[in-house]
Amino acid sequence: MVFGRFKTYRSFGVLGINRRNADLILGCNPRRLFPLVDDKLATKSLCEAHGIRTPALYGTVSAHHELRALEAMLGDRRDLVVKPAKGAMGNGVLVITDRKGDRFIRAGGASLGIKDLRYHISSILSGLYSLGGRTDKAIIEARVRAHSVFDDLSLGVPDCRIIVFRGVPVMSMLRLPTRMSGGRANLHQGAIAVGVDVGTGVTHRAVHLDRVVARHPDTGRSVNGIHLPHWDEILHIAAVSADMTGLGYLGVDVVIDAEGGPMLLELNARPGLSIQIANGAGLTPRLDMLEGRDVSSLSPEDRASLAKSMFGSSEHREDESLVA
Amino acid sequence: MNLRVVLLAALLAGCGIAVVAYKVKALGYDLVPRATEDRWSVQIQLRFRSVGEDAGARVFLPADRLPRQRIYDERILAEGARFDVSTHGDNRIGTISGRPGTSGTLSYRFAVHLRAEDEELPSERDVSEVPPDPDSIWLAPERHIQSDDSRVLERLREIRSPDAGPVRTVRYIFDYVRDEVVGVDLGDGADALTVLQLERGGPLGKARLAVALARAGGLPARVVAGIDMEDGTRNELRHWAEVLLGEQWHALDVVSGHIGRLPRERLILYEGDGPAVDTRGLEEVSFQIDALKEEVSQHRLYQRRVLESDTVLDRVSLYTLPVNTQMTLRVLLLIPFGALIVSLFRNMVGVPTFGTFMPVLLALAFLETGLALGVALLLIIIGVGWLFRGLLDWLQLLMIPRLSFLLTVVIVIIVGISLLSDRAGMTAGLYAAAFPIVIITATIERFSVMIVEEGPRNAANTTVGTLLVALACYGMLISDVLQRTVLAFPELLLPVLGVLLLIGRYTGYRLSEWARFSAFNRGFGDA
Repeated sequence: MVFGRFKTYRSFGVLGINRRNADLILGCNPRRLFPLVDDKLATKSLCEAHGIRTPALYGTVSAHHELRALEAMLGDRRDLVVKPAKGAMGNGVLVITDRKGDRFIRAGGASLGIKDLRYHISSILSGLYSLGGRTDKAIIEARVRAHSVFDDLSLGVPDCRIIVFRGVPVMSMLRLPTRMSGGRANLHQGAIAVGVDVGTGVTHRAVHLDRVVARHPDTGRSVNGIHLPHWDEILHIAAVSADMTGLGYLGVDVVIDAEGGPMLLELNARPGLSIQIANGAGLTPRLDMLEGRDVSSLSPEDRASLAKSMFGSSEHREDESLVA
Repeated sequence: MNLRVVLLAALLAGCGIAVVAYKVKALGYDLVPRATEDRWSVQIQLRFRSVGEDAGARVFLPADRLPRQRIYDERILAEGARFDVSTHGDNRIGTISGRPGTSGTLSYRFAVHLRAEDEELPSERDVSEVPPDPDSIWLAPERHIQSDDSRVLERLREIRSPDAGPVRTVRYIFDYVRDEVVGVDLGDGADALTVLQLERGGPLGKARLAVALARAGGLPARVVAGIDMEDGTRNELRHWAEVLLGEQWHALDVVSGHIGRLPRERLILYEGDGPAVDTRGLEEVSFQIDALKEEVSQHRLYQRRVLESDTVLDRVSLYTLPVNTQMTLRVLLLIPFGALIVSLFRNMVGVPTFGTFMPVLLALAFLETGLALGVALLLIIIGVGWLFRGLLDWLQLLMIPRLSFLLTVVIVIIVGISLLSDRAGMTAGLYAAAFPIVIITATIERFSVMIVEEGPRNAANTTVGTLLVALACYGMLISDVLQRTVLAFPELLLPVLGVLLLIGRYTGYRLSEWARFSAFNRGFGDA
């Protein structure tokens, strides 16, 4: 029965896209604040002002004529990431892992010449990857190296998504790139979504293409029971992100660099809903729990620990030992 | 759901429905206006091969004859030939000139609105106030209309009483030719005198005789040709006489027995007793007229009522506008309904589409092209455009010149389809130009990027979704009943606004989420 299934979803408190748009995005996120998160350069400078680390900025390209100086800007850096400032869903992100002669080696192994790189950046500037096709800037920044905890687990750099409601982290997941996703942490393209317990930072359930899985399809390693390092710091970054942007409902994407630790990668004012599948839990009950509470006076640290006590669960660890 | 929104939606719907109810109950509108007046879509097609130097043809095109006949939406497609239109008196003449050794097609499409006339012949007194111009060319004898021949004058004296005025004379001539001349087709060369002597003749001969007799009696007269409209292909011309009484031409059609007015479904083509098409240096000439009846709302009845009414609602009725504006508005007023369908599909079902209103625009294009053909043309255009887009990717062009290049390619594809289909003898492909070209170009670009960025499956899903929603919109836009109803009751847009408000605050699940969250239904323990 069609409606029976919707009833099940409602009993889990699964948040649907219409409700997310109408009540959370339109209700909690004033439009004027969107540029802060839609433009990654703006986000970067906000982070700098609030003491949150982001991948080191090598340079920006904001006009075509600046492309002539591209080689000088790159210098002899061997690895870097080129991405559109206003891109969405990881579109237009180019990861260079190495250089061989005058060729740039991409994350997937393909190689590019400087001309190809210029063309890619010029597409970014023209607005090919930006929201609404507006002209854009290209960001060239340091490539994040995955923390050793992810060694032989995934092909690219995993990122951690935390949903923050009224400044309190409510749900989190880890996104593991796969061969199918082309090394990108994009769920639509086939990255794995792994539910992360807010209380402990331990992964407990994984979903690949909306189906529950226990192992990474490429590496065969179990994706459950991984303890994310620096979990408190990650929650802290999430809580501060809400303060610095003023958004009531946002998705915070954090990567864990092997050397630099947790870094904020980007913010999203319209975070997706798959995180619920990854966690096997709906967002609505957690949002409702916060609805009646006054959390506005709490410090980011207090809100992070409130999140751990409210939304963490110890059973996940036992759970995961059974599955693994 | 938000109470304010529900109340506002109810208010809008209530207002709209109340106005409709008032118009039906108190002002006597039909809830579903009937279609009665006739509008015809006509296509005149001429195919030929030019052989000699200076080859060409002249063809009569219909002109406005107000208030009886009005020509709209003319479109001329001349292939392999030059085409010019000029006006000679009451006639409009199209002249075609082709290069030797080439084949050509002339396709002339138009819509015509025919109104029934209620005039009878005028009174003798009215006519006598405006005596005919003695130098009128409509009084002079012609090669086939020997109005100065003594035998014609003699016959006129025999059939009318000496004291008869112009109107009586016309009636005598009409009765004589209708009753005494036996209908036998003698061919187009049969002149008035031959028909008079044999008392036999075809429609053209009879018309010539009637004209000759009228001119002999000092009444300006001429032969007129036209066609009787009927669904399907016709190439049979009708001929009849017209006599100038006072300032008005009056028809004398002895074949159909009409005097003073014409059969309602007749289209007047030209004045003169020559053939409709005159060619020189052409071979394999084929001439064909296709007609299709279209039904239009009974606007005249409403219009008259509406113009005489004091009620504000009648005064602002769309029936007060000219017919062609009404035709445009009919479709325009349906666009909100199309947008409503898009909202339903996107927000309640969760179907992905390219662009928000692309499906509505496609549906509008399908209205022009027809459904199956429209979908086929669209897929061809997008497919070929996509191949070119791949080529452009390889050239690494900047985005705006690249889009402009692609736009040009799309236009070339459309022109190519039109040319090919015309060569193949299909008029269908000529409609390809109805597509929203700029939007299709943007779609090709998005489609190409989507294949790379989100995979071919997502691109295919979105394409199918777009077509699905476009089909649903088409199904709504094509509805004649709905078109007519909304034209009579534009206030129906208020309930549409109301429903849009409700959809705008619908926070329940989308149908697509039924599948998306299925993991919750299966339970999570079994992984």
